[in-house]
Amino acid sequence: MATRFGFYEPITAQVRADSLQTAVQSLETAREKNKFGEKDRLIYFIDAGMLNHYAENYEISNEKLTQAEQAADELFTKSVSKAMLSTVLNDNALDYSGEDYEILYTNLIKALNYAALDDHEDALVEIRRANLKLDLLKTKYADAAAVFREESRKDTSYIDFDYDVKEVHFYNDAFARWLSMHLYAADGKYDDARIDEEQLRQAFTLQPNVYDFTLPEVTYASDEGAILAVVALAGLAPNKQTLSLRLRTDKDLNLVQVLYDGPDTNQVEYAHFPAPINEDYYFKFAIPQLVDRFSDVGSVQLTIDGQPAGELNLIEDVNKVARETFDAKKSWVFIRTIARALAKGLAAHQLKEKADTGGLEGWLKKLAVDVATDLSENADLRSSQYLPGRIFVGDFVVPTGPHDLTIEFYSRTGHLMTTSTYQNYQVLEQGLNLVEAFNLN
Amino acid sequence: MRLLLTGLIVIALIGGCGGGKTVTRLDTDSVTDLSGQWNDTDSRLVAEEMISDCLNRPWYTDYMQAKADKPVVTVGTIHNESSEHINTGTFIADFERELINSGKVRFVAAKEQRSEIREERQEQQEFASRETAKKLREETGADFILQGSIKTITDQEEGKHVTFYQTDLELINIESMEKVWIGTKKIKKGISQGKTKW
Repeated sequence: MATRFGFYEPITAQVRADSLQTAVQSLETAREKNKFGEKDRLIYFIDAGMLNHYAENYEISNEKLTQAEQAADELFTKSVSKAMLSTVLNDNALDYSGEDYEILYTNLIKALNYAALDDHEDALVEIRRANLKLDLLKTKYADAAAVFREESRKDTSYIDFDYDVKEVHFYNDAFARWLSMHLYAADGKYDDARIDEEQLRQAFTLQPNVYDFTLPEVTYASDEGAILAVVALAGLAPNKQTLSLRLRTDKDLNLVQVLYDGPDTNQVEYAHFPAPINEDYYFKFAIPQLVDRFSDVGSVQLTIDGQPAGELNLIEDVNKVARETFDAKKSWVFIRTIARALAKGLAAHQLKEKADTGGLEGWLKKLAVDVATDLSENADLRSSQYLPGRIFVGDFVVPTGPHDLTIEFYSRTGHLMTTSTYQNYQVLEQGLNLVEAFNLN
Repeated sequence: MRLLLTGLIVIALIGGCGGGKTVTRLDTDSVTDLSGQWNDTDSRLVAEEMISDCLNRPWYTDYMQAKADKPVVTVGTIHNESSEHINTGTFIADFERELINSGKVRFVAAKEQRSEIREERQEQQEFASRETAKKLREETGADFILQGSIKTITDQEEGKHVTFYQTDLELINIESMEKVWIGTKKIKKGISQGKTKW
């Protein structure tokens, strides 16, 4: 993340040290000190919503995440209309409109908040809202790219080129299904719960690009006791880093080639496509890429009344969901950036020709044009910081009545990292028995 | 002197006009639709239309002919099965108002209110005077219960989000479990995004 977000470092340290109320306060102080610009308000809303969720301030969390959702809807629409060729120097100049995975989990965390507040109906509303967003995701960026191209063609400096937006192959979220399965079962709607269980299985079968791990055993009813549903959030969702690219045009072949520096400093092709080019030039630009944040959590286990009850299983790798949804957005960003790069590159080429007065002065002028053109295409690295990286779940058949529950997080090397305990947790025969724990390391 | 006086008046006027936000009171019957989401106007209009439909169906005349008395109705749960946070409490209140004001039915309080009132009556048996304490087991039992749900379907039309709100209501005979009326009302609304506050 860019250095202007350096104020996050101590807050993240507080989060990792489980000082959650302090982290909430630190984030508020950062906002009061204007560390977030208005353009970055969505990041504040998501992070404030997440920190308040971890701190069990569920109502405040819902307020913040609702503001995040509203801001995301508003700002994406605005970003489509504002991202035209002539109006934006680079994406950092736009209001941050959020990533799809950020908005999706905004709804799912709100569903957890409502469940904690024992408001099942509103929890289900949030899951429906999440499903609705997934339904629209398939064509979201293709539509946005079409609007961009149509509007940009009105600009004489626009060079049309053929590059398709990647389609999103993610329309069914397994964790959302697991949660709604339990919410329906808690209200005695077993048909709806069964449908969600089937949808959960389908999510794994039909989306191996996102769910490339074993389907967890899930259950919402048993003749032998009540169901205790446990959810554990581990690690943090990915960050963004710069992917530096170079654009090379070939006017004889009418070809644009995009390259990046490979591991052995050889230039590797990222993409190529035909475009009507009048000039040969070489141009540096950057787009954002997602980078996973390391999490040391290797396993999560439940003990009931001091006895091991079993291990929780991975149901959602947020990193993979993020990557699948971000790749479509990235190709839309790529199209916009290339269009701007081609237009700016052409303009810079013409400027350089004018500046080429010979001698040192002429060389310096050409260098200044190169630097200005390169600097104006920085990648937009903004993202929220506190969404979870992985989600584990476990459904356990438990006798009704009070139980002492302990959720243990173990490192990848098998060391006990943290425990969350629930003394005298009342397991109900009919109702939602949902327990949540997290370790963000 | 006149100049000074004029100046003071101008300052007073400016001072009087500045600062504070303006609150405009709107007629509660006026149609205001700021976000395109479900609002009080939708709730009121749906209640008016559906209750009017309900009370003009054959079940009503059949009951009147058979019993020679107005049916007693209560409102049960209206489930929110939509993708919006809808206050079903105000929606239920709109149905109750329409039923009572129609003058065609007698109406008993809903379940939650009944519990509170029963508690009050129970306490009266112990703490109120014999003359003023209200009797137990004298409640009017409802003949019918109104239950329902509200659902949404969201779609895109020409690049804009459109939401269909569907309210389904059923009137059920409490004794026989017979469904005597089923009504559906659909509303279609376009959604626009307002600016989030910062």
